[in-house]
Amino acid sequence: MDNMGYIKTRKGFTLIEMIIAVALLAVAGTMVVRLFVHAHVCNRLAADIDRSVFYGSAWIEKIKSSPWDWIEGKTSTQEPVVSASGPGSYVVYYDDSWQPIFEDQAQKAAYAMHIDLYRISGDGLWAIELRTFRIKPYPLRQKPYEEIYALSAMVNAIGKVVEP
Amino acid sequence: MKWLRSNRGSSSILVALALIMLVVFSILAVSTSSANLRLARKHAETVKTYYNLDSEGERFLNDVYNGIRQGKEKASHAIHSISEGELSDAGLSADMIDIIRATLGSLSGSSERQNYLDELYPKLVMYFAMKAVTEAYPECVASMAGDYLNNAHLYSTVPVELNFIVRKTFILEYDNSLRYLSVSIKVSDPERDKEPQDICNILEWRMWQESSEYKNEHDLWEGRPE
Repeated sequence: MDNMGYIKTRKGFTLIEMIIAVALLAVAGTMVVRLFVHAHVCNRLAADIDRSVFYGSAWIEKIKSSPWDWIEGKTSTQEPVVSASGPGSYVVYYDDSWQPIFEDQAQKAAYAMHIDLYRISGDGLWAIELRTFRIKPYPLRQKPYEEIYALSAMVNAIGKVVEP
Repeated sequence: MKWLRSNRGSSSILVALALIMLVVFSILAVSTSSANLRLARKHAETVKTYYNLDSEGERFLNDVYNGIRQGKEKASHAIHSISEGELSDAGLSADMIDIIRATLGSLSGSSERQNYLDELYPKLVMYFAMKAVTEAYPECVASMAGDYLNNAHLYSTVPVELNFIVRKTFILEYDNSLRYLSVSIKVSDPERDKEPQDICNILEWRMWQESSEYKNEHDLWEGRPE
């Protein structure tokens, strides 16, 4: 009976207190989780931008070194990972760890780098437009095929006449 | 059983502390990742700026190529007009027409005249090319051999080293600092069968940024040099 008396006299939490405490914990926990996810997304995006800049600059320099191979679409001189999507239009797919992958494995791709070349004027000046997309959306973001980075450059490709 | 009272709510305190720590760490993680993202975007913008400036240089180079191409077309037309005796249609200045007419008059025989016209062609290419480039970019053209636009005596039979240099510095303001691209192109020996890119030699394609000044607000030197 003594023990029962102790239990009766011991103060505990009421249902309202418990509900408020659990609600506060849930709100705070959700906030913390969102913050961590946001931090993860920011880190991932930063790494993706860095990679896009690195690979994008490399492709632009490659195009500038032999512009006619790209304008005419000479696939024999290009790397096998480059797939042509139209005249002067190319796509390079990358997997989640930024390893270039072939077009037939494009369903595994996490990133796509679109490279477009178009003539600015009729006298040999060409523009290179490079845009990098993330195919799957980042966590907490609903937008698929989000543009990560865009880069444009110009190149002089004179000496030949081609139809665009 | 009084000791139990002292433990009342201790688990709540632990949970609250854990939660506070989680919030603190998450905020730290967010601030670190945001700084990473800012740095990555800044680097990306720097690369964009680099290619923007580089594109300006490419456009300039293209304009020089176009100037030479125009020069070749106009020179061919001028040579054709001169050979047919219609010097007024050659698109040349009055001084040059006088010099060319006088030179042609002093030459005897068709072979000498043809040799002269063959030697005149590259000079006229330089004249028209220099004129086109000067119109597009005034005060960017210089020539060691002489001013093809004003020195009419160059168009007589005197041998001339055919070249001129086009220089331009492009300036782009980015993030409160100036970035420069200096381009220097030498145009020389415009023979008939050579393409503009074959006679253009890029002497300089240099990109740089103005040096940041270190503001020494704290005088670290406490002593006075003797």
